[in-house]
Amino acid sequence: MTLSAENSNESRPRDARWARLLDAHRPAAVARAQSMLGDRHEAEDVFQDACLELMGKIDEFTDERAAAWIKIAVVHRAVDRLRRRRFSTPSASVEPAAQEKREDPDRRSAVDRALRRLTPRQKEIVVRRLIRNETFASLAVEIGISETTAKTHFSRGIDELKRMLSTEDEGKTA
Amino acid sequence: MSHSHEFVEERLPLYLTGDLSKDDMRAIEAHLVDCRSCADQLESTATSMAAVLAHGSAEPTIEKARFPWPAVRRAAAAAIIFGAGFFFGRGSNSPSAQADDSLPVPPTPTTLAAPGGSEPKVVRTSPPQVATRGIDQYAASDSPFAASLRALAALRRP
Repeated sequence: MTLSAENSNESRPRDARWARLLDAHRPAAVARAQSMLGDRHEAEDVFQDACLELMGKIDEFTDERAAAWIKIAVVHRAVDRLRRRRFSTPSASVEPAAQEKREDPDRRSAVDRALRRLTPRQKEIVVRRLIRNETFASLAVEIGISETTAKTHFSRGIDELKRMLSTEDEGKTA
Repeated sequence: MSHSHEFVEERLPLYLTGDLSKDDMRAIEAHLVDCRSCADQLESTATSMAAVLAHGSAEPTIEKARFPWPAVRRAAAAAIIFGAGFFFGRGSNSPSAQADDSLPVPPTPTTLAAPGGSEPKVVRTSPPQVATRGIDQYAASDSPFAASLRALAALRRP
């Protein structure tokens, strides 16, 4: 048996496992990313990025842990992509129709309502860090608080937003 | 799972923005892979942050939580001016000071009893005068508001 044939025999079960994992988790992962990004192609890209990273550590994970890792990696990368989209200048590659499709007036007003209900400090820090992409170091100095305090306000603000937005979603489905 | 659920859940927003140390990022990721409950929390946190990123206005009405120094300076200046005015003006309440400070009394008609019980005769000694003084003259007086005026004028002087 040649070396290449030996390697091929060794990698076959690994490939089969890999293919099985992707088939099993792709639909849910892409749907999750699409619900966050509002774009099917971007959701597919996010899933592929997550898979590429998982490929390097697949042997460390059981199937269950690999599934959890895909879920974590997909939502993390979807947030990264949204932040890049928000902070990058509008490019010609983004079609106006696609941009309009992403706009959801109901969701927008729900988010604005939730932001208004935060404390002034929480709102300021959430907007400056998440929407304007200012660093905690700079905004903390400008406000006159410590970086740790700014991070605490941010985390609590996001928790509040999560609670309010999920309450709104429950109200819609009820 | 070396970290508690509470430790991880508190840091999920910072994990998603990458604002944790490398050690914390790795520790939280290791926890999330083994903890379904925290992984679910991560998903809902990410969904909320995605909604804010996609739909949140970059310019909501942020109430700047800064100390209102200009307003405080104006209020303090007003308090000092009026306080000084009342403090220095208190001395003018003495009868002698009041007499000195009193405005000229306009001449009043004088009623003269006519001899023989006839109708009283009204004699106007001088034409009625209005009690007016120039602002400078008033500002130079000892009244409390005059002191305030002087202090205000001093502040406005370059």
